[in-house]
Amino acid sequence: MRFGVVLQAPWADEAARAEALGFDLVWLDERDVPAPLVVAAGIAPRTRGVRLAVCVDGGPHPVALAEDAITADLASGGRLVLVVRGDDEDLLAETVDVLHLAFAARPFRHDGVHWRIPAGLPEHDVDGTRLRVSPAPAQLELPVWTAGPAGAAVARDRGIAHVAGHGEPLQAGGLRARRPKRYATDGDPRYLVDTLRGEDAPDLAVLDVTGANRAEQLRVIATQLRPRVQLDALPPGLEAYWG
Amino acid sequence: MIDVGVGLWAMRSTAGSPANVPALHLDLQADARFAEALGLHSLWLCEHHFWYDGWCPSLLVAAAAVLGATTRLHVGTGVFLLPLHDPARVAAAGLALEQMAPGRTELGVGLGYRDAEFDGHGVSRRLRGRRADAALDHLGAAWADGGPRLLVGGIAERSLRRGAEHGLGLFLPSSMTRDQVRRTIDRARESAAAAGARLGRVGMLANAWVTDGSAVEERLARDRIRAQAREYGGAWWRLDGRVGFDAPDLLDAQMERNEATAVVGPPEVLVAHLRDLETLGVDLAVLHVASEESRPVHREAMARIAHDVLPALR
Repeated sequence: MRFGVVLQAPWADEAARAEALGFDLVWLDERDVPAPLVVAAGIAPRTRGVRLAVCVDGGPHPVALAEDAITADLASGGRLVLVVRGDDEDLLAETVDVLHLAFAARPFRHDGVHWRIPAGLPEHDVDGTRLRVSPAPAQLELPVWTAGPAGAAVARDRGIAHVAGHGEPLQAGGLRARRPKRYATDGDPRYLVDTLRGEDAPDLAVLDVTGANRAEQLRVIATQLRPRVQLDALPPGLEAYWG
Repeated sequence: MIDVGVGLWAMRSTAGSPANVPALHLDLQADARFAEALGLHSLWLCEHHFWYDGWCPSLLVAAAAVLGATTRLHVGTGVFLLPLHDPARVAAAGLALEQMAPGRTELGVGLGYRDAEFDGHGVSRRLRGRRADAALDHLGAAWADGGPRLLVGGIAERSLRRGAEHGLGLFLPSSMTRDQVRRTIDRARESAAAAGARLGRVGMLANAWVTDGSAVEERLARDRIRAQAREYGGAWWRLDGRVGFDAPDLLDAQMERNEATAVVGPPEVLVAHLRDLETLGVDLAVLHVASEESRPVHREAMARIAHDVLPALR
């Protein structure tokens, strides 16, 4: 199982600390962080291996979103995961479809409900009727995941990952990711181990750890929880590490 | 003392100078660390979209990587094509940059001119002036308590005047003559004063190259400047109503003019030029050392500026 952590400010210091603790992914959410793709690029030079998951709300022009995402992916040497959240299934689906076209690094045209790309405005003198978003991302397939109420259906139809919220069933097939509002990490980490080992255990758990003892909780997750859930049974002798 | 920065990083892979684009983006971070270690003021990026060459389309995202790689270096845009972008997203990006690296972003803004770029973003080019005005108002309000410094780029009288009236700075192109620079700055100061404002910082791009004073190096540098941006101008400049590549004689004549107006010579030549710009009211000179054609040698050029020019300016 992989672990992510929802970042708080100062983002670059937090991300470097999360990477040093062995977290697989850091999560930047547009609802907490201004311009999270900009912040992801700022974090990139301060980290080397941790994945940068950026969650944005669908709605802005998807070409602008694609260009920002591509640049953040290049800045991080191919570590970006773009998560698009939506309440409206049509808007979310169209955003995801244009992102896939843009990331494919070939000319395309798109005639949708919300956007016509290129727009083909009569006052413009343009060669051709297709658009090539440039440059290509660093990753051959830049991951686009969904989140939010409309996310599961959009992800299912396209075979991409949906990040399930609290109480929402994990997606069948593909990466099973969950970002609940809160995992209870106060007190005994064994509680969390049982949760994460159950039938409903995700492939990726993105933890939103808050509170005054946040640093200590992250340390406990890194040193006790994370190793314990990697195997069905750990080799004997490691119990001494569980504190 | 006049601030000295270096530009313009576009991260292009051209037909004449191919490169691996992901590597160029990591090189940008290494170049930024190098520039900072040399004591240079700033590193400048430039924007275009939808072309074959990978030209960086998202300057505020790339700027964040430059800032994240460094601790003191400023990052600039020369220029950010303001009407193409959603002002609310630009405002948020500026706040993010400011929170990560306070006071280190210089946002030079321009209008853009390629129809295909406007069409790809679903924006009418006809509205570019109005969109830029509205965006400057939006950003002024959003960044009232701190944000990137705004420098109005280009040469359009109206936009320079409007920027000056709002206390913004200027970002002047390298093609301006000495007289044009003086007149533009004087007029901008008058516009600012008439509106009860103070003109912000004045930046200027300069085509400049330090040599060891030898004829051989001077010729190499001038050859490089003549080749610089020919592949760009050939596709994008309108010369006598034709695309540059369809008017090769005019294109080459333009490249000759670029070369002729470039400042090339031993350190003392650049020092004199920069001192002169300072007397005209230029606060920040961005020396154009990083083009695709100069990629193998731009670090050496940066080191020479830092070691042989900056100390003489102090």
